Amino acid sequence: MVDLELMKEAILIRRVEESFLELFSQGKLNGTVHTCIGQEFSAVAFAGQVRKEDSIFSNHRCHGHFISFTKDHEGLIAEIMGKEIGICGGVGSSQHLCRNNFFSNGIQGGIVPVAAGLALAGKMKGTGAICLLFIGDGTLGEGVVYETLNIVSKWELPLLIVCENNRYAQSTEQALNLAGSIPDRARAFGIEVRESSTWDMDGLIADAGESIRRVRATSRPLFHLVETYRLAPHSKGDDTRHPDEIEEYRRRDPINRFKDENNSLYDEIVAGIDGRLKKFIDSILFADELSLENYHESAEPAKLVSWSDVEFSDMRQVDLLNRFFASLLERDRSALLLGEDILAPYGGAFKVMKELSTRYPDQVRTTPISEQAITGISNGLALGGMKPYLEIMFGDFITLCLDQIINHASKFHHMYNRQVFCPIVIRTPMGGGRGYGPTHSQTLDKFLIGIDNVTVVALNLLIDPADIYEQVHAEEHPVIVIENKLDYGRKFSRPPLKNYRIEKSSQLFPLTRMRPLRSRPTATIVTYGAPVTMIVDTLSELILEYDILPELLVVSRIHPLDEETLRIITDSVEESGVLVVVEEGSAFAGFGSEVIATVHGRTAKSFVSRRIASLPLPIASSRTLESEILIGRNQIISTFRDLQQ
Amino acid sequence: MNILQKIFAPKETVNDETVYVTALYVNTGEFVTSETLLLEIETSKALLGIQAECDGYVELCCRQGDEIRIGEPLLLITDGVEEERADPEGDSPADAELPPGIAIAPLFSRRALELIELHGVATSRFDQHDFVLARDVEEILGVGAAKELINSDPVVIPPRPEPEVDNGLVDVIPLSRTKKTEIRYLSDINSSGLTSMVAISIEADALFRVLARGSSYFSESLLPLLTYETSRLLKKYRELNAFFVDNSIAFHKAVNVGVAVDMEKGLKVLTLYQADTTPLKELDRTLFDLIDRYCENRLEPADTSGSTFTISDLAAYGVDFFLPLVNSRQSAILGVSAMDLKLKRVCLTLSFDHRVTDGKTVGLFLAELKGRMESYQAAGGEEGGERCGVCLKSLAEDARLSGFGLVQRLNHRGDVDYICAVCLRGGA
Ligand SMILES: Cc1ncc(C[n+]2csc(CCOP(=O)(O)OP(=O)(O)O)c2C)c(N)n1
Repeated sequence: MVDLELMKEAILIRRVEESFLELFSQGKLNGTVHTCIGQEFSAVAFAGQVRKEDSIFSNHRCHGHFISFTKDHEGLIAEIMGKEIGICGGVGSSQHLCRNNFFSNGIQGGIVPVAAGLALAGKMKGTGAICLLFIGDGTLGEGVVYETLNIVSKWELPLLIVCENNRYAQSTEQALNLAGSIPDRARAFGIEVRESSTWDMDGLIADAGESIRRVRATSRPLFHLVETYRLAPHSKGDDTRHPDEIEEYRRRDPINRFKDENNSLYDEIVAGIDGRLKKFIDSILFADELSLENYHESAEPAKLVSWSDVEFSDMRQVDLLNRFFASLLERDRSALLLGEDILAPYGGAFKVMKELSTRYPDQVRTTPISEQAITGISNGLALGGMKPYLEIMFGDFITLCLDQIINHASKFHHMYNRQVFCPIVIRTPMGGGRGYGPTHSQTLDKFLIGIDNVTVVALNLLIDPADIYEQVHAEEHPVIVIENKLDYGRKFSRPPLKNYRIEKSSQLFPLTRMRPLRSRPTATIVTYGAPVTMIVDTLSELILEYDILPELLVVSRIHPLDEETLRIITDSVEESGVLVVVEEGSAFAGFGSEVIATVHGRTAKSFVSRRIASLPLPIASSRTLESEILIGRNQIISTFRDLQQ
Repeated sequence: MNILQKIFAPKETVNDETVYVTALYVNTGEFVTSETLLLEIETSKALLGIQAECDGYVELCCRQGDEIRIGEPLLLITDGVEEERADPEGDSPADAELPPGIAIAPLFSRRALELIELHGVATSRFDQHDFVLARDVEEILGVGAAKELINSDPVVIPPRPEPEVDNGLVDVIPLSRTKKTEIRYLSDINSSGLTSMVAISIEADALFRVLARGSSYFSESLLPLLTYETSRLLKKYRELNAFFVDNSIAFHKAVNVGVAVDMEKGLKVLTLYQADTTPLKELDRTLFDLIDRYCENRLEPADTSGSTFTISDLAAYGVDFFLPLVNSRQSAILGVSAMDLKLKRVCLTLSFDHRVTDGKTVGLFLAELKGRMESYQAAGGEEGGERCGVCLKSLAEDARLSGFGLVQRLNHRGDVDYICAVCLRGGA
């Protein structure tokens, strides 16, 4: 006979979820819920037995896990009713819960590497805490799950994966989509597998306790498969299963059996729970929702910008980067470098990490070819108070990281109502010019700018990369740093052009400008990243041959564009009357379009604008074709020549 | 100083971002002749020697061992050593702001150099500049007023397609720089398609006779008198001393009449400053001086800049009538044709920018000018009378010289006129 307190907790979970369904039918809830009615004991057994300092990651079906771990069913109810006093201010609601070390998210599988990352953070800090992760059987279809299983096994991370096998994914029966056996999948990675079911409650409680103990003791992952069944629809009214089948499981359901065997006790427990729930729900029915002002921090007001001369060092950019990261690892033990092939002696495809793993072995981690997982792991590290720097070998591969960037890193802070920060840093080299061909040469920056809460900065050869990275390190939200393959090997040297002043602004991410010493410029060129070198090389020809005296403004933070940057650009355009934006990606819906549109919105003066960008084609390997596709000197010259005629 | 050849770091292979200067064989200030080996550079592929393509003075932009980016200048060949510059540590306020070690030597755009050459402006006037663009030269040439207006709302004309030619059928010879500059100058207003022209004839027979008797340096040209009268009228007809810019009319404050001359030394417009307040005698003398200096290549930049209205005189070529083109930053130009010997008339044409003025105004202007010009022959009429058609000696003069009077004859045009005894005999 199961412990009465645990039964009471299971009944509480069920009554809370049933009250959600009622509130829905009364039109008092916004959105949707996925109930775990029938599966409560999985929550009670695992989430109920971990320690406060442990962490839990869950999915869309997370109410039970949450209640068992936090015991805060009222915070959950308020959340799901959309109230400001809810645990996430009503922002997250049913599938985006966060409280203490509890996190859930609505992307199947996406949270798996994040859990691994937090487990790694705990292990590195030596806290002895473990991570408990719930996934459904349907989620075994997600590739990132296997990337992560591989890594947690290899890295020996204290992660307990509980797979709740209710034999359905939304409307689809397992047999239709699942090949092979579930336990074999985990075993293939050398992970211990244990199995239980929610119909044997005592066995389940004991097994769960043992799994938790083992993970803690060995600091290794464990895969615990729990057979269970969901009695209610996937969410609401979307059940296509045969009623007889459901009826069969209803009879076997532990709470129903308890009810049949202890009718009056059950009624007493339920009456007590219902009374308290009703009272609480009534009390918050008219409570406030979160206001926009309290949800979103408005942008900082513009500061006064001052300028100082850029001090060039004549060192190669890659050496400056290497020097910066060495000093960073030395002074900040929470800084961690991750990436493919970054160990010595190789040091990464572009050698930024050269020798660092020899000097700081604990802080440099080479990873399998698993971009999605390592991005998610970096997210987890960031949630766990570390400062991960993830190197994505080629910019083109960033597409594989996008789910972790957009649905996880970007959203955590706001969807959990600002309870957490995710200061992940992703560095990646974009750009062509080396003949690497279509999947190793593209500039995909336009897909990275405009993601909420994600700062995108780009290095260039008119600024010391350390100036940029010092601020990147201080950022508390996700940052993507766009580097460039060709720039790595170039020197941070003063361009030989005479009579120009090269200055950087006092902004957090400095804007660099090249301005004629005295004369008023006749054009404003705005750019970022790698094209800087080429533009600088073109300046003397523009001046001497074409009578154009440009001011060059090089933006380092390309998203978001702050007030100061926009003011600097607008002032320059008002003075020159010509705005030319140069970028290496293609023009449509890119940085250039944004800059031009924004400046138009800020000035009453009319000005001429042009975008200079590469052709919207996969970048060819062959030399001539590649250079025809990518932006080049000729395009800059011809754009200005056409403007002049 | 003019740049004769500019040598850039060449792009020899796609891979090279830079080249190395491995050897320098010349120094700044050194005079070199065409084909002198100047320097040697190293690309990722090979060592490369670079030669001068003309004679001139060297100005180095690199040092031995330097790594120079492709496209950056390595060396310039100029037509003269740079003039002495102001002390770089001088107390010019702009200098004071400069970062240490940066002394300004102005860099000139090609168009600026063309204008400088065209108008003979001294480059030393730009010593305090960092860069010299066409606009800076134009400013010195007196068209600065329009600059701000233009800059606030630039007008962009889409590029014209290059004309396609069949080299089998034609020989293509590129235009000279001067001609191209001239085209740009003239296109400014005439390409608007909104210019027009009005003509008027003045009775000039007696006028020339008056001129011949006067003490003018130009006994056979209406130019001084026309300049004198036109400039006074321009005070009244301000639109003709103005120009169109940015949907506005910019009125010149001064009346500086330019006189177009083309006598072997190329087309130049000589400026008579403040013509409206200068006495006729002085105008006459100044114009003579200017032409003298034109012939001797001694023109100063100011002599050919800053005109606000132009007079073009093709009388010497015997033309009956022509359509002059309005100059940049002006609204009108007066054309003077030769006298029709039968009708004794000179045709004056006035081309004008219709965006600034109109036919009626120009008509009134010309009529008034005609009246003023013809008034001279009335004044000179008393002394008039019959003259020798060849030497223009009057009957009175002939009497003073104890000649025997004038003989009537039929000249080769079939007109009846007079001839004196000296000329009849075939000249003195
Ligand atoms: C990446 C992703 N794809 C699809 C969905 C839509 N979706 C939500 S729950 C679900 C079924 C998940 O099945 P399972 O993992 O077995 O969990 P269960 O619902 O059975 O608890 C699906 C397809 C999603 N949320 N995320």
